[in-house]
Amino acid sequence: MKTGGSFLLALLLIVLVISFFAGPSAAQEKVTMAGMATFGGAYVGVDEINRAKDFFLNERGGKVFNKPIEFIIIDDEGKPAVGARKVRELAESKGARFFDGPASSAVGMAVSQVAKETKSILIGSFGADDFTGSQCHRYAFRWGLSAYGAIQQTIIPLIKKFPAAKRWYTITPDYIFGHSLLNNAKEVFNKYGIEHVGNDMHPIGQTEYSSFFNKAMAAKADVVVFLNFGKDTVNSIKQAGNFGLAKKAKLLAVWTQGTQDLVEIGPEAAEGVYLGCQFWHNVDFPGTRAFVKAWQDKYNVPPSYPEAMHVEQFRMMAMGIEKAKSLNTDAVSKAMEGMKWDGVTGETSIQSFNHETRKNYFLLQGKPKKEMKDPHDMASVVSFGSSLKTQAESACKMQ
Amino acid sequence: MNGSKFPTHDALGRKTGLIDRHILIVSGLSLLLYFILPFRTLPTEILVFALGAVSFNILLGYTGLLSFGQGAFFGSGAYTAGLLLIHFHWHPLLILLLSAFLAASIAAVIGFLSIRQVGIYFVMLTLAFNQLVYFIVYQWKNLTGGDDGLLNIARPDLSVLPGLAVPLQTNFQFFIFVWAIFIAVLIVIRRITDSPFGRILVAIRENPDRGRAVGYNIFHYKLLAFIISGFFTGLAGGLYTLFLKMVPITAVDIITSSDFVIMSLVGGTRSLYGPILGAAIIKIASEFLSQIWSRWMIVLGLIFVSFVLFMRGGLWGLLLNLRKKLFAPKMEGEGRL
Amino acid sequence: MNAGLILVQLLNGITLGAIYVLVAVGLTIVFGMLNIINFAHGSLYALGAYFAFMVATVIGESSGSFWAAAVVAPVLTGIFGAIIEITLLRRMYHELHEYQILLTFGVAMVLQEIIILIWGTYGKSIPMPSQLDGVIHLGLFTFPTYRIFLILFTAVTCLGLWLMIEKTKYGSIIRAGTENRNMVSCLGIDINKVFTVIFALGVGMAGLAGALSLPMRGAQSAMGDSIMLLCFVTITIGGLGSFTGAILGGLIVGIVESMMALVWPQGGMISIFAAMALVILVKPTGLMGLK
Repeated sequence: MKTGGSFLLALLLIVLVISFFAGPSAAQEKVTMAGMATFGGAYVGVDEINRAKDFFLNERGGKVFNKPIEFIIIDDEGKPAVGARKVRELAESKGARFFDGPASSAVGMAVSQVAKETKSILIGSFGADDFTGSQCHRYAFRWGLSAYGAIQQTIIPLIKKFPAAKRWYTITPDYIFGHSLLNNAKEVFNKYGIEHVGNDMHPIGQTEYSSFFNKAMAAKADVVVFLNFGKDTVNSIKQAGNFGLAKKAKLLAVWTQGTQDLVEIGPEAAEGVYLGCQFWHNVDFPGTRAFVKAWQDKYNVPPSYPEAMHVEQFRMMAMGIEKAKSLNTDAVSKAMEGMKWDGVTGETSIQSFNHETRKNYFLLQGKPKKEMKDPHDMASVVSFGSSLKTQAESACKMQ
Repeated sequence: MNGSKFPTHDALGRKTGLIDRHILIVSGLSLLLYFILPFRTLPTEILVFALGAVSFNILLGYTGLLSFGQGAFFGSGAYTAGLLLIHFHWHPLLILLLSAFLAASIAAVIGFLSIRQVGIYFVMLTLAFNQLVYFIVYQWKNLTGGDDGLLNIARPDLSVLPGLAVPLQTNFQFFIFVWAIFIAVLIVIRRITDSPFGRILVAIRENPDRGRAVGYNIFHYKLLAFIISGFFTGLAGGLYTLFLKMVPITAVDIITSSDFVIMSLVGGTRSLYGPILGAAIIKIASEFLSQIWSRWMIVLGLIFVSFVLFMRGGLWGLLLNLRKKLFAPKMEGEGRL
Repeated sequence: MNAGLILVQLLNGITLGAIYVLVAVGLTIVFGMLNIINFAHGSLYALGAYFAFMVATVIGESSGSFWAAAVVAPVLTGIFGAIIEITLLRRMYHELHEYQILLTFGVAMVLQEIIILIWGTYGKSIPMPSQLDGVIHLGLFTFPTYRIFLILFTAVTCLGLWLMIEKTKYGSIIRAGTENRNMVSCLGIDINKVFTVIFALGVGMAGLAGALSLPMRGAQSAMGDSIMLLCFVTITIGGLGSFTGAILGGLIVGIVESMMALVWPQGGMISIFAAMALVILVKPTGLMGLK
């Protein structure tokens, strides 16, 4: 039987040719940094990270600690299985030890597991509390405020602003991040005597929010709080606008992407809506102004939250390496603890016990179209601040 | 064809052993994957998906059943393995076996309900069942972790004797483990498909009425095919969990189902080994392309379209044609099921 | 649970159903008449939304921009569909289902990426047309005027389509062509043209649905994916190839989705797919299917 040989050898040839183009990665003196984003589909975020990468490499002259930077961006496809495997792949075959984390909490928690095993520094801003809570480890760092901080910086200011508004309704995405936000919200409601008149759980990617509005209206809610993210928040607020919900209740979206979401929501629907965000380009901190100016010089538009996040996280990795004067991740981790600098959201510092970053979180309110001075002046700042869990309150027991 | 008297013959009645040239070459090439490709984790993933695709192809290529619900079996196997690994610390082979059995049971149920339908209705029904399983898994958070899946699963070593264990912790070690299971399963599947049972499946695909006329219980054969396919798909799912050390909810979703369908079609459904080719090519191409261009899915989509327009027999068919052209008239009617 | 809440939920369900009906009618016409499963149908719905965005933006801020978009976008989508039919699908009519699926699946992937290439990764939206921007009040609740319009418009469109297929001469050619294409060819009618028109029509309906949902939900590149699955459910429940089935199926799916949100939001999808499985098991040809 001579069936197998010849053409399966042809296949071998094809495989060899393909892998020829990839080639093994030589062990050079360089620093491999990696970032992950979703290249397509509903939660796409690839353009932002690419721009951030170019900006970062530009301002550093392509080097950190006097070594050239090899920067790899992978497509996590929004899936934990893909993200985790590709991170492990980069760690093992390219020796990458510095990772900028994903947007999705599900992917982030899976990647954090791999980061711990491969002793890779992972800096993420996805919301799940566990990342720097019960699942914390010495290589995990968080930049953006966690669900806890976001809730503290958005719900409490509104409670204080509208003391008569006692009936609050929540709309929550049914996964780890949503649950984090909801639990934190409930604690705040309890503490401040707010009546939590109802909650709706929805799967991620929910397109129809009308039913939830109706139920909120039936419950005579004073405030409707959206605890979702990204496209879900955009859809929620747009539809709330269609239903004229803002006339019946105050609307708060706790976790938004700033300009990116506002552009998609549109000024009509965003008017008067309260939005929480990790970054806003129009605030008066030296770090913010410098960053926004440099970004605008390069790209002609102000930076959005994801772009600011990536740049800041890349900068954190670089600063850590240079402070530690080493690429050893244990040393870098130690060096990053307690690090202080003028960040893109104001004064920024990293807590040692759980690696969370003290930075500002912003509560914004959508401006009416006629008050916008330019197309990006879509919101005014209501309040800002930082809230982090103390060591006593935190579930993090890092070794 | 005196099927029952000669259980180890191929389609042309030639005697074949357990391990023949095909198996040797596939073994060699799949082993080589680890050394040729510049990836440490991709080769293992390729083998897991290749196993899933080959198992799926028992239904499509051999029995003519376009099951769009393999994700339900793959995912069941994956979750079973995950839960067992979290709550008990049993032997990995035992866990894989249990995962396969559970998946086979679910396949039995879904198969039983679906087989009576034909054509597009069958496809839609398997799709509906897959979605049902997916949403049940999604909702049953206490058991499955819902959208978050199951994380932080430890991969045990392979204990051989009390006190002696084969380590499975590094990429290479685990790859060899998966490779060995892959080849073993391939040999078993090949025995099944080369046997009279396998040929009856093909007969059913070609002309079910005639099969019925000759006295075969079509329903039973199709159901058995489902169970066998489900068994090995679940096994692949269990391997997936051991590989990732987590169970993502994507293991049970419709995209995984369509992955197996596409891999088989691209690789070639008219052969046992075609889906292996398909899995390898698609996984490798996706990995390389995603590094080059963020809009890489366009290329993948174009590849699919071209396959349907120009290479209906898949890669396997392409290679067969190449071989025919190079070594012309000797081979007549070979390589067909 | 008061009556007002149930009423608005019902209206919501019918609105949802209206979108599903428009998309499903297109899908079922194509399947029933051309026997092809079009996995790219969802991405054509997305394309319709993006075409509408493009037209509305080109015309600019004016009260007529939405209406122009709602007319032009389906036509553009239909033309695009015709091109796909002529170049790719024409040879697929007698092929095995798996090849149809792989081909149209590939087309869907390519389309989704092309949308991102042209229009970028951010979602797009246009403001509500001013004539329809408002709510009607139903006690405690509000219901957007636009959604009422959507329901009525869908009803009118379906009626028009039905009339065309059942009562006009061209419609009778279409019906004949699906029953016996050879005979129609023998009568001197170019059956290929008929099929192209049918496909363009089906796809145009999806494009119309996309355009209509643009002010309501905005446009995202992946918006076709979820609609695709729900439309399969719709036409399966209603009956593959049945026009009235698509209408009935769409309404059922929309209403179930909406009412489940009242009782058990996460159970919506489970119920819908359970219903789909049940219909196939009990009466595969669907509620309105023949036999």
